[in-house]
Amino acid sequence: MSDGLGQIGADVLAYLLEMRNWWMRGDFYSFAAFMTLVWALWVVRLFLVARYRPWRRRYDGSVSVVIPVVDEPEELFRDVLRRINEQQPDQVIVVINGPRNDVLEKLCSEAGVDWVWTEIPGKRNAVRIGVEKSVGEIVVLVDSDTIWTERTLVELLKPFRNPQVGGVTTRQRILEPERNLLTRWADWLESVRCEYSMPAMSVLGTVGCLPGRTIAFRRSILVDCMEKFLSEKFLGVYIEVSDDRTLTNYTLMAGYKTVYQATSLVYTDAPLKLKKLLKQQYRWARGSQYNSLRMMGWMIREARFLAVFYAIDILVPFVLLGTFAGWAYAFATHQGKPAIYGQLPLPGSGLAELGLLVLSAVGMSAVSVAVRFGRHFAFRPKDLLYLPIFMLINTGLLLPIRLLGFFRCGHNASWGTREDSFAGESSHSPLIVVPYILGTLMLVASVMVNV
Amino acid sequence: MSSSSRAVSRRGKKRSTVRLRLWMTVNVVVLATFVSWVYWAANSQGQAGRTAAAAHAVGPGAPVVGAVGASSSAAATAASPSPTHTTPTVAQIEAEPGKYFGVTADDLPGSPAAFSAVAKTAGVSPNMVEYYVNWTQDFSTEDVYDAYSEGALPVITWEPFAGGTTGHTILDQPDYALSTIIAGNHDAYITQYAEAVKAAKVPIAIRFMHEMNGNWYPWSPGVNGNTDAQYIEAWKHVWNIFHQVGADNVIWIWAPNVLRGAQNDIHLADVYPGDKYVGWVGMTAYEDYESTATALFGPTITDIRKFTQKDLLITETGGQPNSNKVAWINSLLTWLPQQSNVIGFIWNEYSEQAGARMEWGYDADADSLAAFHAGIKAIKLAPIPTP
Repeated sequence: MSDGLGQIGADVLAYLLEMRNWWMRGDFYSFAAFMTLVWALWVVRLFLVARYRPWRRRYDGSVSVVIPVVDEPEELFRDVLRRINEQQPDQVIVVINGPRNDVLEKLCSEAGVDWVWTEIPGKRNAVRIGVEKSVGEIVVLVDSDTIWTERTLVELLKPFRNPQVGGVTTRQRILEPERNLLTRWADWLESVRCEYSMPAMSVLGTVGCLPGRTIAFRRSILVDCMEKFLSEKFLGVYIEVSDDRTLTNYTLMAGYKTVYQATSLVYTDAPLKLKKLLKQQYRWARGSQYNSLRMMGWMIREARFLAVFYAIDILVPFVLLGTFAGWAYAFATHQGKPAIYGQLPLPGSGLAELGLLVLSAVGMSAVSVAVRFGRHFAFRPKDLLYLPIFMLINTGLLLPIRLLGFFRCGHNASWGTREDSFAGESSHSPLIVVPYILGTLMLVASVMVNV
Repeated sequence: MSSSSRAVSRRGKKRSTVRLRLWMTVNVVVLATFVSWVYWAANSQGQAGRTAAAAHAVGPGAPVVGAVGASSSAAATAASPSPTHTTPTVAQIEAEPGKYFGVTADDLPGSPAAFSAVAKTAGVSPNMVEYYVNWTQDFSTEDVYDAYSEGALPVITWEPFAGGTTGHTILDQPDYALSTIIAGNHDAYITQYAEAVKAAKVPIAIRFMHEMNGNWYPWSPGVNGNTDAQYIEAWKHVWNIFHQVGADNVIWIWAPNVLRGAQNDIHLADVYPGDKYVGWVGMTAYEDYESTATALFGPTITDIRKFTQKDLLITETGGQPNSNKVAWINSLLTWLPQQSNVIGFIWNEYSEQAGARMEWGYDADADSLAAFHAGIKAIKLAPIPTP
């Protein structure tokens, strides 16, 4: 999950001033070059999004829904099952993994769905069991806390009319995003993904990660890749998490398209506590970047745009960190403020100058984000008020998490929000140093360019 | 889906499309306004920066403390010696809202008699004195303080060569090729000079490697084995030594020759070291056949303004003894007050005896002098703080 940091609101004022210097004097700034690339990609994406159309004609193949579950509040899970049952799939299989859970078992029996218990913890094994028991041509994998809406299933299946389509994902939003700041932020991220990256990649038939809340695959693809899914190593380790991205990879490598169906909507919860959110983001940061490295070779050969997209995703935190280091350095060594701002006429004394500078920098960045993510903010303009905080979360929390996640993406010890669900032996491989070396190189390069 | 609900949904979709387009239009316009504001602000920085800073400059003391309520009138009173006798600063000089009338002439600075003679002839006391120092000469603290004692800011034309009189002796100086500066051959001299400048404490303007777009000095690209890139590198090399030494009381003046008469294949933008390394830009421009200031300065200023908005000082000027001279003086002195980021001029008053090619002076004939008197009196000159 989680494609990235594209949302980070970088300082547009500095960007403009750097561009001016570049235009007039040919001075090169890595930050400006990078921002130009980000905007250029945005334009490309916009062109792709304009071509996106959801599938409209019905698909009538058989379908099995597989729901791996560890533990879930009774009320919530009853609601989840009811909503799925209402849409009458051919088969619903709940795979309870981990400790025995009488409540869930009873609940499944009452709801009239198949259920199976396995003592082996871990989502991947649960998926295997679910797929083995499934009979439908299409298998829909659903997270146990995902709330379907009225037409989720019928819409989700439509793209399978095209025999080249191997995996389909839904639009997803956060339940009651107004609850607190974190849910609002999470909803913003989801919304931006659904409005920009997903439809753009879908037009190319290469959605890089079909998010695991609800994904539909052709059963044959899952069966073919199941062995690798449960054992394949990269960087010398087998990593349990990021199962959704891994299945998407196998689907793409099997030659199928992965697409997004905007008319199929699901709701999901977001962590209400910061600590939980950070853990979740860290888990995604590691999984996502691990898989980006793993897939890079294939992407460069078969899906160039996807390769650029994920490469940028990895690079953003490094470039921004280098830029910040450059600014901090300029601040520490005599200039007082980054020299680039010296081009602007500002009131001479310290505080007023700094205030005005910060105000214009924040103001301009906000407007630029309002443009870049117009498809979200046009319909939730109130979120603009929260934008400074969103940017603060992105820069102050997400950025270091992404960096840390990159460095540590080859570790496979227990991590994430689902401690009790983790299986797999803890192993070490010398290849673990690869991300460290790569990351250090990028970090040094970025800081060198800027300081 | 029934046909009516489909229609409703289509209407809803249309509404949301309209809303999105409206949102994007409004925000793109706001963003474009912001962008043009930044562009405009950055371009007008020279002028606005000066005025804004002037509002904060109070007294000849630095750092400025308790500047609340200071106004340009407070800055003006800075001209009178302060009872505490603190050293003036570069920021203070750069903040002065007035213009500069500078001269370069025989025996200046150093001779109070020569200075008062100039002041008497001009009808106004110059607030800037320019003189020449080449790299065989040491820094003179005396010269600098002599200038200040006359109420004039010292401008040193610092020439990286051994001097010379005719074309060949000037140009063929491989010991001073830009590569030798970059290689550090002259670091000892530069460092010593920088230390002396630092010790003098007062603000000093240095016009360094001037008229680089000409082909008559050994530091110009295209002669003596030099290139554009080397010019910039040599400039930064010297600037960095001053910076390391801590000689930050320098206003660096980067001053090309007016485009007419210069080498066509040197583009000014290619030899500009960057705003970080430059305090003022300058220009050598003598009236030849032009009868207006715009005709003489215009094309070069337009070119310079493409890459920097730094305040501009006409670092060398004068008029040929010809029929255009009076008209040109009138034009210059009415043009100057209208230019927000042209801060003044330095007139070449060297006599033919002292090596000038002709009588460039504003006092070369009675009509020229009358025109000069009338014009210069109307210009508000920047007060120079006394150290």
